[in-house]
Order: sequence, then C-alpha cells, then structure tokens
Amino acid sequence: MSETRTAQFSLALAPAVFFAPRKVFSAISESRPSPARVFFGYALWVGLVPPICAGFGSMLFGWRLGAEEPVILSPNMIAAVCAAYYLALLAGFVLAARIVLWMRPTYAGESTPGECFALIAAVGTPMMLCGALHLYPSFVLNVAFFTPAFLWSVYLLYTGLPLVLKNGAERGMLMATSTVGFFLVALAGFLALVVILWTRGFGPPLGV
Amino acid sequence: MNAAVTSAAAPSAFEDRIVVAFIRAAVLWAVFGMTAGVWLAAEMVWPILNLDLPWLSFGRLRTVHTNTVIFGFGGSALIGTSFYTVQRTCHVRLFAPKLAWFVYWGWQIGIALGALTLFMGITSGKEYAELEWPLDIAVAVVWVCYAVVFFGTVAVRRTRPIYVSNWFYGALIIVVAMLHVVNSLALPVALTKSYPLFAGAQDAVVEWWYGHNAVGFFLTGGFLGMMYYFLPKQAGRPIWSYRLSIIAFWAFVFTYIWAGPHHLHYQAVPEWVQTLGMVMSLILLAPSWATMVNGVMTLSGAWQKLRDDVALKFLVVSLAFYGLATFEGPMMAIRDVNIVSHFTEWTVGHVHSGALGWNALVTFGTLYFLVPRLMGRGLHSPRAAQVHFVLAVAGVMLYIVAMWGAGVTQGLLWLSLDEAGEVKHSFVEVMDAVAPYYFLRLLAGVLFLSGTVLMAWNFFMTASGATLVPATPAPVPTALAFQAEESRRG
Repeated sequence: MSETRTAQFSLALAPAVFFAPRKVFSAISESRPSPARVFFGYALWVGLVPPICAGFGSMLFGWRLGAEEPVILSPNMIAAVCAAYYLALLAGFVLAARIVLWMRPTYAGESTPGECFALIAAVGTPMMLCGALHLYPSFVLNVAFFTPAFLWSVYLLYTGLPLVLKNGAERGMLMATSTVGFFLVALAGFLALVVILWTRGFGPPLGV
Repeated sequence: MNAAVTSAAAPSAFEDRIVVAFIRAAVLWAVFGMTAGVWLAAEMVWPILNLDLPWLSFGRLRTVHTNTVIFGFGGSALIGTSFYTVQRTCHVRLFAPKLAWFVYWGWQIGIALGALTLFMGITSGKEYAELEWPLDIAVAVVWVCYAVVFFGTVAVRRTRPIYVSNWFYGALIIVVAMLHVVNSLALPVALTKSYPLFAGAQDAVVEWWYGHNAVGFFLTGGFLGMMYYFLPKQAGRPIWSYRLSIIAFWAFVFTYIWAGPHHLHYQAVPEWVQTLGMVMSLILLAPSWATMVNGVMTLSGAWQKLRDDVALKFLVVSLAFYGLATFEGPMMAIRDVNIVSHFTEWTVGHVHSGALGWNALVTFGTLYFLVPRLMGRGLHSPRAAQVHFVLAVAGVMLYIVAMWGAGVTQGLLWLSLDEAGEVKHSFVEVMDAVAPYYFLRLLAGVLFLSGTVLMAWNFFMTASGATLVPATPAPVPTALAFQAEESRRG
C-alpha cells in the first residue's frame, strides 16, 4: 500500500503562489502548520527579501523619486531603515494574522491559528517577492510592479480565505473584504508612521 | 398578526415620484461630474486638452467637477433617499409634497446655474463654497424648504421612535444650513461679485469650519443616514447594535464640529487652534469606526445573499473604504504627517478614497436596491451591474495607489534642500516626477467613469417602459406606535 505524502507549507512553495495558488492552500489545510513554524520557517525568511534588496539598492543607486538626483542616505542610516523595515513587516504579518484569528468566529471560520498565519503568509508572498525590485529603488518602477502584486495578493485572499477557513464563498467574501479593509488601513497607518519618522529626522534629510 | 399592529384608515400612497426624479438627477450629475473629473485628470497628463478655452481651464473645470459631483450627484442622492427613508420609517406620506417638488426643481436649477457660473469664471473663491451670493441665497431658501418637508414628515410620524437614519439626515439638514449661511456671509458689490464678511485668518478658520463639516455632515453624516436604512434592508436583518448607532451619532456630532482647523496646520492661526483640530480629529476615529463596525457586523449575518446581490457587494466594499478614509483622515491631521502630505496629491487621493470608495459606492449600492423596487421589475442586466462593481472597485484602488505615490514624491521633493539650504528641486522637475502617477490616475478615473456610465444605461433600460410601483405605509407595530406609550402612561 503506497503511503500518501502530505504536502507541507514551506518556503519551497513560495513561487507557487503565482501559478498554483490552490496547491498552496491545500498544503496549508493538509499540513496544519503551527504559528511558530509559519513564523520561523517561512515569514522570517520571505520577509528578508524587501529590506535586504532595499539596503543594497539604496547603497548602489540611491532612491530615485523621479528627480535627476537620487536620495542618498549614509550607510548607518540605510542599515537602521532596513532593520526598521524588517521589523515593521514582521509586526504587520503577526498583526494581520491576529486580525484574521480575531474575526474567525464572527465569520464561522474553522481553522487552526497556524492555518490563519499560513494564509496571511501566502497572501503576503507576492509583495514580499516583489520587494526584490528594491534592488533598483526607482519609486515609479516599484509602484508599477507593487500595484499588480498587491492586486494578486487581494486575489489570493479572496480565493484562499474560504478554502483555508472552510466558511463558504459568501462568508469568505465578507471576511476577505473586512481583511482588505484592515490591509488598507494598515498601509495608511504605516505610511503615516514613516512620514512622522522622516519629519523627526529618521530617513531622508528634509527641510522641516 | 393584526393584533400586533395599530388599526388605521387606509393610508395614502407614498410620494415616490420625487424619489425617482432625484435618482434620475443623481445619475445624470454623476455622469456629468465624473466626466469633468476625468477631463481634468487628462489635462494633468496632456495640458493641451484645455484647448486654450477659459471654460475648460483647470481652475474653472475643477470647481464645476467638485460642485456637480458633491452637490449634484451626492446632494440629489441624499435628498432623494431621505425622502424615501423618512416616509417608510415614519409610516406616513411625505409632508407638503408640492414643497418637496419645489426643493427638487430648486436644487437642480441651482446646481445647473452654479455649474454655468463657474464655467463663466464667476466664483467667490472659497473652496467647496464657490457660488456667488445670489445663488447662495437661493440654495439657502431651497435648503430651508427641504428642512420643512423632512422635519414636517418626522413631526406627523405614526411611530414613537425616530429611526437612526432620520437622526443623521436631520443633522445633515441642520448643520449644513448653519455652515452654509455663516460661511457665505458676504458683502455684495455687484450681482456677480461679493467679498466675505470675515477677513484674513478669521476667514480661513470659518472656511475650514465649513469645509471640513461639509465633509462631516454632508459626505459622512448624510451618507451614514443612507447606510443605516438601506444596508439593514438589503441584508434583511436589523442593525447589529441600535444602541451603538445612537451613541456613535452623538459622539460623531459632538466631535466633528471641532476638527476643521487641521486644514490650517502651520498657517497664521493660533497654534492651540491647530492642536485642538488635530486632537479632535484623532478622537473622531472612535465614533467613525463604531459606525463601521456596526455596519460590518450587520452584514456578517447576511452572507448567504452575497453570491448574486450586487447592491450588497457595493455596500460591503463601501464600508471598507469608509474605514480607510476615516482612519487616513486623522492620520493626515497629525501635524508631523501634515507637513509632508499637505498640498500634495496624497490629500486628493484621501478625498477620493472617501468620495469614490465610500460616498459613490454606498450610493450605487442604494440605487441598485431602489431602482428595481421602485420600477417593479428586475435589473435590466445584472451582469452589467457586476461589471460595474469590478470597474468601480478597481478604479478606486488604482486612484488611491497612484495618489499615494504622487503625494509622497511631491512631499519629499518639495521639502528637500540643497547644501545652501535652498529648495533643491524646481517646480517643473517635481511635475515631471509625478507625471506617471497622473497617467495612472487618469486610467483609474476612466475605469470608474465607465462603470458609472454602464449603471446609467442599466437604469435607463430598467426604467424604460416601466411605471412606478405605488407603495403605501405599512401598519405600525403596536410597540412602536404612539398609542402604546400613551396606554403605558395611562
């Protein structure tokens, strides 16, 4: 009798979010990973892509906002900004997973906490991998690619949430919309926080 | 079942013809105003599109756009839906229907003349209050008549409680009257020219007391009135927490009125006034989100209807954008954020996440609920309505992202200094830097407008050949009737 191999939710599955998302969601449901396993085995590593690429890109090319001269930061400032970026991404990941967990009873979701963590990890993967574009930190280029990556993440959320939480297409749609609402709010909050840091002297030098 | 309701003589039918008229006007103004918006977005990409005509210059067309979408589309939708709602929640026919028709024609002629004068360059120069004094007086008269019709209907109601929608619509009517009258006080020097009664910093404070509370009570409070009636109706469930809706209403009314000075950070007004505006803006998040949670939780039990129900989809997504806009606003009111975001396209993006994402989507959801019911037949093309939903949501998302990009770029470049401490980047350089985002914004506008045109066609086809379905007030449940209160006291 041949033994059925259970698909594991692991780093090897990261590229599959682009061409076989259902395979990723089945792996989440089948392997039922723990939150710690998702965090230490997946999020911690995928989340490294944007800050590392941003670090190298900023040092090599500087941030290009569309003006002729790029914004050049000191190596120390780049290291500090990248470390803060990494911490913010990880905090955002945990917060988003906790939000899904919090909403789960309202929308009759049936999943383990680890599955909720894995769902958010999978949904965030396109944007994290798109972070490789920070290697050439042109703002326009990054917006041009992050916009479709964000839309793909939203698509993953709407298709994956009802599958992982097993709460049906309609409840899933409502819960996914609430989650998108949270993402938009988190994005606006992150933007505001970053601007406050800029005006307090952490980041590009501004005449304020 | 009859025992649970009060007996009454056969009531006369609701005055719904006026609701249909307002819906028709709202849709037409939406198409006109949004076309003007798309044209403006195109002018930002290809300035030659002003065709060297003063009427199409950005300064004039922009005010035509804002006035026709806010007051033409939004105003017609608010007045029309308030007439629909107040009749049904008060269980009586509209008070003074002839006066209501005067309100309809007065409002439409006022908006049309307003657009015409703005095209001609006749303006008071006050943002969102550009109309000159004769039109200001006419608008005030029409608005007072609207108040008489609305509150007259509430006064002759057959139910003891006043439903929460009517509280929000009522606040809209009272506060907008107050704002409009005070902010429009001016000394006329000719038929088409006047000067504000207030001067300098005082004028600025009054203008933004008006401006921000127009956002608060017109674009937020009024549309919350709409949401509180049509969302539970379409979901087929009562509001999740009626108590929370009332608490949120009073907190909202108390807090909003103070928030205006956040538009005047770093301006020549006392710093404590700016700080007060900022703090009250942050506090405002609580009542705003209480309302959002109430809406989301009301919907959470109506999941089974979402498969085909486009009206409910619009309402669900509008709440998400309401959450975003009411969070982003307080963030931008923080002085440290405002110094970067003010005067940039970030503000324009914020306004549109509210105006398109919240106001327009909640209105579209309401209209998709109303039109088939009023016409007594299904929507001509449910598929077109689904396409409209996708176009509208994609349009808003793209708009917000484009304006975040443009706003951050502008904020950073404008504030960058060179070694000598001088402004580092020229105006033209910054304009060049944001050009790609302006193109994205145009694309977003085209998507959104296409959806609106599709909706207009769908409604036209649904209504053509159909006649208005007469509706009469439902019997009043005994527990809600005045007699119940009297018998308890007796």
